[in-house]
Amino acid sequence: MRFMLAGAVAAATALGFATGARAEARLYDGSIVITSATPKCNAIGDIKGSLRGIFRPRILGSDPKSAIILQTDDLSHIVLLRATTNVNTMNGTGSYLGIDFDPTIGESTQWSGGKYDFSIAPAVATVATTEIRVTGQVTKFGNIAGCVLSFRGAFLKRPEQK
Amino acid sequence: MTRTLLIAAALTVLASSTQAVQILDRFRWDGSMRVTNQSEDCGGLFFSPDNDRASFYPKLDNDYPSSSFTRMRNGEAELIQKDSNTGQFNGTGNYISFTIAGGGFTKAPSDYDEYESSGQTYNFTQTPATVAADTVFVTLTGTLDNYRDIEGCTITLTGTFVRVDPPQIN
Repeated sequence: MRFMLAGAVAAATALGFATGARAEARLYDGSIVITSATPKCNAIGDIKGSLRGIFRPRILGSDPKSAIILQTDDLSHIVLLRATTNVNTMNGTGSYLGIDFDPTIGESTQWSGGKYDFSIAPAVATVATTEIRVTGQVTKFGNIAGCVLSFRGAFLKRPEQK
Repeated sequence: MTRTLLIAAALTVLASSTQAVQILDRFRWDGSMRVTNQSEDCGGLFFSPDNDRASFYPKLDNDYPSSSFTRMRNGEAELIQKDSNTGQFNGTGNYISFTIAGGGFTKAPSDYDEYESSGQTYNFTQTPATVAADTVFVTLTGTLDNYRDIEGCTITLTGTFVRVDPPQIN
C-alpha cells in the first residue's frame, strides 16, 4: 500500500515538473478522515471513512508543490490534490490541481478548477516540523462539479528523508 | 425445555450482537507512529524504517476497555494496552503487549511471568492529557520499557492521530 502511495507521489511529482528531474520531497504520512461529502460526490463512490494519506509541504525552494495524497482502503482511488502556486502548506484558500489514479479507468485523470479551504497547523512547516494537522474542504473533488469533500488529517514526518 | 433452549439461544445472540454494536460504537483515532529511539539492550530490533500505521483507543468511559494503541509494521500487528482498566496514557503506568508476528501470537509479560514480572512500564505525554469524544487530534510521545519482555530494552515512540467517528448504527 505504501509503495502505491509512494508511486503516486513520484508520478504526481513527474506530472508537476516537466524538467524530468526528480524533485526531493519532505513527506508526512498519516490518516485522513472524511467528515462530509455533498450528494454530488456519490458519483465517485468509495471516498469515505478513514483513509491513508500523505501530506507534502513545500518547505524548501527545491521541493515540489504542496500536496495532499489520499488512498482508499480498497485501492479504488489514489487522489492527489496539489497546490497550483508555491505555497508552503496550503493553509487558507487557493486553487488545486487534482489527479485521480483509478485502476478501473487504467489511466490517471487530471482536472483543474477546484478550490481548497484548509486550516493547517502549523500554518508554515519547516524542516523541524514533526507533525501536521489539516482540517478543511475541497470543491470539485474528483472533477465533479458540486462535489465538496470535507476532511481532517493528522500526519507524522517520515524518518530519514533523503 | 425447548422454549428454555430457544430463549437461551436468543439471549446469547442478543448478547453477542450487543457486544458487537458496543465495539463498533467506539471512537478511535487513526494515524501514524514511529520508534524514534531504542536502548542498547533492544539490540536494534525495533528500528522503524518508516512510519507505522497506528490507531489509538483511549478509555473514554466505563464502557470502554483499557486504553490502548495498535501498530502495524513489517507484517506485524501489535497492541499495547494499559494494565489497569482506568484512565488514559498520559503519565506512567504498567502495560501489556500483544503481538502477532511470524504466524504466532505472544503476550508480554506472559500469564506465567505476570506475577513475578517487575512490570513493563510506559511513560507517555498524551496531548491533550485527557481525550474526550470531541477531541479531534491526539499526539502521544514517550517510552515503553522492558519492551517485548526484553529486560532493559526501552523504546521511544511518537505518534499523531485524528478522530474517526463511530459508524451510525441503526
